Amino acid sequence: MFYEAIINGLIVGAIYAVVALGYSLVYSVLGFVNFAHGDLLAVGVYLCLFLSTGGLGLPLLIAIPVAVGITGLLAAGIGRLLLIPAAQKSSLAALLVAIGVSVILQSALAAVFTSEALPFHGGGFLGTTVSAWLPMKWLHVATLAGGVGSLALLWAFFFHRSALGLEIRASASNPRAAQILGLRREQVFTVVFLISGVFAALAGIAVGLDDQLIVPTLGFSLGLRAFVASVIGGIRSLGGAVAGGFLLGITENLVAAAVLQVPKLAPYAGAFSKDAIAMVVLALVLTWRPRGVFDRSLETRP
Amino acid sequence: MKTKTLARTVLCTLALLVTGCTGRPGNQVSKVYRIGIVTPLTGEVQDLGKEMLAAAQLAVGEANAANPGMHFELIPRDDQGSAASAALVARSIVQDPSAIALIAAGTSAVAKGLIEAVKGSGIAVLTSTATASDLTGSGAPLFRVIPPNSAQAASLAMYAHKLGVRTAAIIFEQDDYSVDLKEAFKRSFTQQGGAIIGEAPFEPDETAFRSQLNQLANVKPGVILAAAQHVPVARILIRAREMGISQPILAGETAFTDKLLAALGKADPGQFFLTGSGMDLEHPSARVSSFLQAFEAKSGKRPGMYGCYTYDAVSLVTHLAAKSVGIDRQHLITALQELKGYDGVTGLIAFEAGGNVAREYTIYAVRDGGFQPLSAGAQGKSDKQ
Repeated sequence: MFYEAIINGLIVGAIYAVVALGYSLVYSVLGFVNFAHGDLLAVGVYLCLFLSTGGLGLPLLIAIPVAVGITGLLAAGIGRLLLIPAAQKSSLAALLVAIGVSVILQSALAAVFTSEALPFHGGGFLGTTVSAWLPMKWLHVATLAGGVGSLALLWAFFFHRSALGLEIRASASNPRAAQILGLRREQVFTVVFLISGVFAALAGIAVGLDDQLIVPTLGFSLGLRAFVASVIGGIRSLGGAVAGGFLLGITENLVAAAVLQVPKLAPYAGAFSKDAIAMVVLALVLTWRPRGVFDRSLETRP
Repeated sequence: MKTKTLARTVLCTLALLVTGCTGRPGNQVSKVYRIGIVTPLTGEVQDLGKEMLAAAQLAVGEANAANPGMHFELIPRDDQGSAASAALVARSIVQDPSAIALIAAGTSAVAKGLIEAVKGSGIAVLTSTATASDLTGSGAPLFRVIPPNSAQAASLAMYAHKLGVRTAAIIFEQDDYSVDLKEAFKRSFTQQGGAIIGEAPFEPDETAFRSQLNQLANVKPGVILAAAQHVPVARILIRAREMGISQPILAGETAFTDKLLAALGKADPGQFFLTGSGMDLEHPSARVSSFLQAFEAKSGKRPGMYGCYTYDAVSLVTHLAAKSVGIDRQHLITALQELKGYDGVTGLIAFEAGGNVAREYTIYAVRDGGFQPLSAGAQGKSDKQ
């Protein structure tokens, strides 16, 4: 039972990690939380559905990268045209604009596709279980390996070895110093939103293929919990956000499994909802270590 | 003389004209019967509310066409998904003396607020959607054309018994309908000698269901009840079969919708059984076909379950009013109580003492992308009268 809970925790943790990275990246560089980030999951998966089984009939191997690319560009466009101008006025303005964009994205998806649940099949062998001793699908293995692997590659090669990557890290480390030094802010911001959009779309497609049913609000709750995961891990630490994702995913599932095992607690399992567990963990972490568990940066006051 | 003749002629002509204007049957002023319908026309489930309103409008249109000497009108009002709003608009409807009935086409919680508001007004309340078991005996003249949760649960428990299983587990959504269905199933199943060996609640935004299904699979029940709306039921089916859970899964009538089939897509639900209205949509009768065609012509799509029930509720009222010209609220209530049987599209309608529809409930399976009625005999009676 607990072994299965850990496996389930790794599965959902991988999704949280990928999405949390997007929150962390934007917050580190721009100093505000992009609450529209979660809805990009839904945009990515709906685009993939439209391109493949639900519309144009493209094979998934083509539909996925195209959908991911479009979502990344959309994220970059939203960032450049709406969020950055708002952030230049104040963080609060950027936050409010992001919430507005979130509402617009959900409404647009419901209007274009329908608010009803749509089937999203087509994983092929990815939908099959690895084995009896490893109760996860090949899709989950791909998500874990692909998510963690691409994050590792991004970290090792892009952030550490490319000029733009270094500029992004510099901007994340000290935005004011980066500005003073005249780093390529516009390009940095655009790439940051592009990367976050790409990862959101990948996460959304993975979730859609796993659940096989998608709704326009797919990314809302999941996105909020991924945000909590990024805060738990350390929202200014890219690695911390990823670790926070796995930590939250595993904790959620272990607590749920434990509660269901206790007969007197099982009827109240609803009180131990994922959102409730996330908030309790968040409260504990913020009380003990306000920067987040894995954030090693110097504390700065806003 | 000529002046007098002219005057008489003009007067007679005028008299004839006036008599002619008021005397011809086609221009008689018809008595107007108004039927209030309170349904969510805004908010998350507005699509459902608008579907039910369309069904009600269809019924009224047909009644007007069939009864030229009478005129039926709807008083549509938005309950906004809130009991307080429903109560407010219901009170305004009952103040209209020509309103002979009220259709409560919202959730059970909203229906409770509405009923509380119109108690004592002497108006019949028919509901096509509110299935909460505790609405029976609520103190108002309530007539349900949709089976209550207790009756659905009884049917499911009886079918489980017929399958030969003695243990059951329940996965249920944390909302009023699902909790009510769960409790009713537990009562019925244990009354028949079965045992409930596991329960797993889930939140409305749950999508994975792994924890809950792992928990239930570990206790190895003979059958699993999925007490939830159609989307979570579809998710549970897909996930359970993917996890290798092969036990039969049962669900209530909220899953009996084309939207469940659309959500399942090509996924095989395995042994999946649910209660349905008795409408054979694969081989519809002439009455049902005519309704489906008329609805599709009006709305551009097929009606869902609630649209069908709402159509029946309104049609029943217009049918009884047409039978007794000049019917008032009290006589309508009496007529509903004494109804021997009305052939609705959802089946034969007659009411038990508590106002619940007395009907055999059909168990369906999902086969070949459609709902297939299984052999009749899964008759469920409400255990709360």
